Amino acid sequence: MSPWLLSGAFLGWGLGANDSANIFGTAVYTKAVKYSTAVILTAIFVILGATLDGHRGIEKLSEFAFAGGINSNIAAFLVMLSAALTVAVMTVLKLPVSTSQAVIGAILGGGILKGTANLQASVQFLSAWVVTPIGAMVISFIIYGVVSKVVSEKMTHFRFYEIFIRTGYIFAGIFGAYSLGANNVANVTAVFAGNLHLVDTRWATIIGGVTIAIGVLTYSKAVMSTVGESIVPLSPIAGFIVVIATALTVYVYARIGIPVSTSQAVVGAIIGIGLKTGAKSIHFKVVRNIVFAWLGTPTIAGLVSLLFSLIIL
Amino acid sequence: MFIKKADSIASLIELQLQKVNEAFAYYIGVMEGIENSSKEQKAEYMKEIDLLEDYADDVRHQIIKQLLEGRMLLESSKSFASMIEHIDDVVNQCEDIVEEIYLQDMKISPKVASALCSINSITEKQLGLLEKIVLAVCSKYSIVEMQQDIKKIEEIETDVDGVEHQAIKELFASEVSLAEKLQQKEIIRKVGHIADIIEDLSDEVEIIMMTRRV
Repeated sequence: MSPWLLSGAFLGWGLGANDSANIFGTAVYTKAVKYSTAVILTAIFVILGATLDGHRGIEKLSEFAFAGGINSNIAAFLVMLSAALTVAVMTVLKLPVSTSQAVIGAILGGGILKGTANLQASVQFLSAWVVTPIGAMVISFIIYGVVSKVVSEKMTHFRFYEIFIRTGYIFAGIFGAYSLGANNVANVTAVFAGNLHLVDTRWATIIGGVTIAIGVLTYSKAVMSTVGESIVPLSPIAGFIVVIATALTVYVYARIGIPVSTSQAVVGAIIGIGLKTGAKSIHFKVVRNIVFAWLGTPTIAGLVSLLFSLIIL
Repeated sequence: MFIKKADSIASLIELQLQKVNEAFAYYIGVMEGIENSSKEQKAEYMKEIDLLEDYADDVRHQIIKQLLEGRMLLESSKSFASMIEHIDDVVNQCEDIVEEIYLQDMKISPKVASALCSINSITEKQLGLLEKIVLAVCSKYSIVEMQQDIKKIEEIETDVDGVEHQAIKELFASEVSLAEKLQQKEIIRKVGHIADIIEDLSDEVEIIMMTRRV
């Protein structure tokens, strides 16, 4: 592995440490799944998702980055370092942050000085940020309605209840991990692949998947505990439906080739269930956090990337 | 794997109920003859019910151990933990009553003894219904039937209150000394309290039903 990829590896590690909570956090909190089982399953299926379905995102994002002026090893390194630092600092400051949005912002920031930053080409990514929570909301609304009809009478059966919830969380977690790998691997290694030829697409998926998995295995416990508790499902079934809806939304974008935010998909999915049940789940603070992530994250990452370009390039 | 975990706890709860029933049946037998019991007999009753309470407690500890091992979902664990504590309170209350009668070498008047037997007989029916709903929540239940049984448990508790209040009124209208009145009033309250514990337990079961929804 080329040392230029280290900044991407750092980002991948952080992504794994943070985003695994969206997948298995609630399952671990409700004791549907043990923490050790959750991290092992996440690591395995993140790597599978990245290697089997991550190539589209890598191809699309690497094309966007190269055309946007990220056409040297050092430029790629600095872009990923900017994104990684932005995510790390915002996480420490407990500000809402999206890795996907940080990467796009860093790419645009890295191309500004050269005059190659292509805002028009970035519209496809920007629009995905808006559609992600809405899509997850619609999907969770539909799934919850269907599941309610099918299982509500069976819930009075003790064995069925315990088995259904546990199995649901495991299935949702596996699908979520796969989608995370498939969709987000592009954030980790795309800028180094494609026309830059620092790594080919195949190896980009493997390296990206493995670094995310390492993040999951080594540093996800604290985040998983807090996020799992704070997501607080409207009911145990709603908990895994949130994960399924998130996984489905993120997977659709993996097939399209656009990295999106799993955290924002989770928020959308929770809102969708709230709309179905009539529970109040839309809070101003949540909406404010999403909007801040849309605007703040890429702006900050872009500024950091621009600063690096000014100083080093 | 999940089936075994869930079934294991359900089996233990059934065993706990069995032990509680045994303890309660013994307690009823003791209370039926309490007015004529000697101090030595009361000491024997206390030892025996203490033993029965220990058996029930053992089972409760086994259930808690399994709950702490994460054998059930968190919400279910919390509700079941609360439920088994209340089930244990039934035996604890029986033990407490027999202990008080022994320690104070209480002389129970025939009228009070009769009232206590009435209360226990009504409470026995309530306990039967409770066993039914607890076992149902550990296997499978019909919401309508459960709600009907829970309502009956509440109605029985009201009946017990009526007998309890009447017994206390008659006690204070009687010729016994004030000290004895206060002593026996306390026992009447304690015996009536078993029905309150059972009614609280039925509320726990209702909470479990509420958490078990889509």
